[in-house]
Amino acid sequence: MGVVRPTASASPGAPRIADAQGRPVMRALRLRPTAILGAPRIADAHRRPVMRALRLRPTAILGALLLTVLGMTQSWGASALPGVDANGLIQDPVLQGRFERITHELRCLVCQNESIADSNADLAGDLRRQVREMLVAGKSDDAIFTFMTDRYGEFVRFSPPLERKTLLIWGAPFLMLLLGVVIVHRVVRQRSRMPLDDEPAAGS
Amino acid sequence: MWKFLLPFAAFVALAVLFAFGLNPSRDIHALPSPLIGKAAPAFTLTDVLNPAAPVSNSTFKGQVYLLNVWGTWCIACREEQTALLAIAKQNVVPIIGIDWSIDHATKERDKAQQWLQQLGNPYTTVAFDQEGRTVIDLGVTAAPETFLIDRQGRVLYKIAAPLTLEVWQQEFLPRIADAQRAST
Repeated sequence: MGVVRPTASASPGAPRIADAQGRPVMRALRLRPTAILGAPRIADAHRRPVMRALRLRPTAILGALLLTVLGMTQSWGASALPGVDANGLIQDPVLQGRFERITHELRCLVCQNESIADSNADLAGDLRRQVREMLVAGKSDDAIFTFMTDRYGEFVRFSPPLERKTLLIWGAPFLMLLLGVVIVHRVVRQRSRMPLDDEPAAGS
Repeated sequence: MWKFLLPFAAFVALAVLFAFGLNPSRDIHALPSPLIGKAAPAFTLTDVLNPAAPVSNSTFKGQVYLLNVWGTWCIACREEQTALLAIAKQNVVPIIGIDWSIDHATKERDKAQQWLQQLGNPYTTVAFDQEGRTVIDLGVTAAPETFLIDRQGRVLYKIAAPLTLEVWQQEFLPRIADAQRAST
């Protein structure tokens, strides 16, 4: 990594920003050909005269769209489920709503801070397929979560279940609130006991 | 008294928390597998070398064996291959491979055949998982992963990293010896 000099204020931050930008780019390179082909062209277009930009843009957008559709049919085309369209959208809005909720609640284990709803990883696509199939097959939300935790452990869920092991996690906000109330109560009581002639001294 | 004791106690509590949380030797990405001690999921796939031949792990029931998930797209698997070849040469347990076609393309089968021809084949058999379903059943998050299965078909141990000879000697061989001593 770059040399970090404590005297220069800009240098410690710089490599990190490069890192943060580097990672999404890497992921895009691996997973979305549209990001590579589409993005630079559009960026180029901004710097060029309007006429040329206009000429370039439709092709870039069309190409990006085509590639996106291709990518979608490639990953979903194999599993033609009843009641599911080519883009993997479940026709029944209630089921689709549950699909959205469940996939946002499940962690993508390849890029651990993304949900499988947001992740572009191949494995996340397979897990979305799994959720979709189970929903269409009439499985309950609980059955789907159990399916996932049986294989990937509790870590696959963003919100941990309420049990003895996780009691502290769920209870912490209430404990903090209680602590705050106790502190405020003590401070207020202490101040109310202070002699009144303390006030002008503090104010001057 | 409390005025000094409380902040000090808070400091100690935080120090302990950070000592645990920021410990560099702790692998924050290591995840416990819920499969340990449970029956390995049954699968029936096809042989990567012969699409007409079924491969099922039920064939290996009663034996201690390794289950190795890999793919030709996986760079670490290439690195692991040399270790697997050396391990296969020791002839301790059968090694079942699962070739993970991560993008569900059949091309992976051709590539895998090429891979095995060019780099050598340490596997007793290799199952071809085109749909990635067996891989999900195994709770695999990335390739390579290696499972140790006992005579009853239970998962004894798992590593989510390339298998090396060092890990093989330290973690696998003692467990295999124990598992093989146990009667069926």
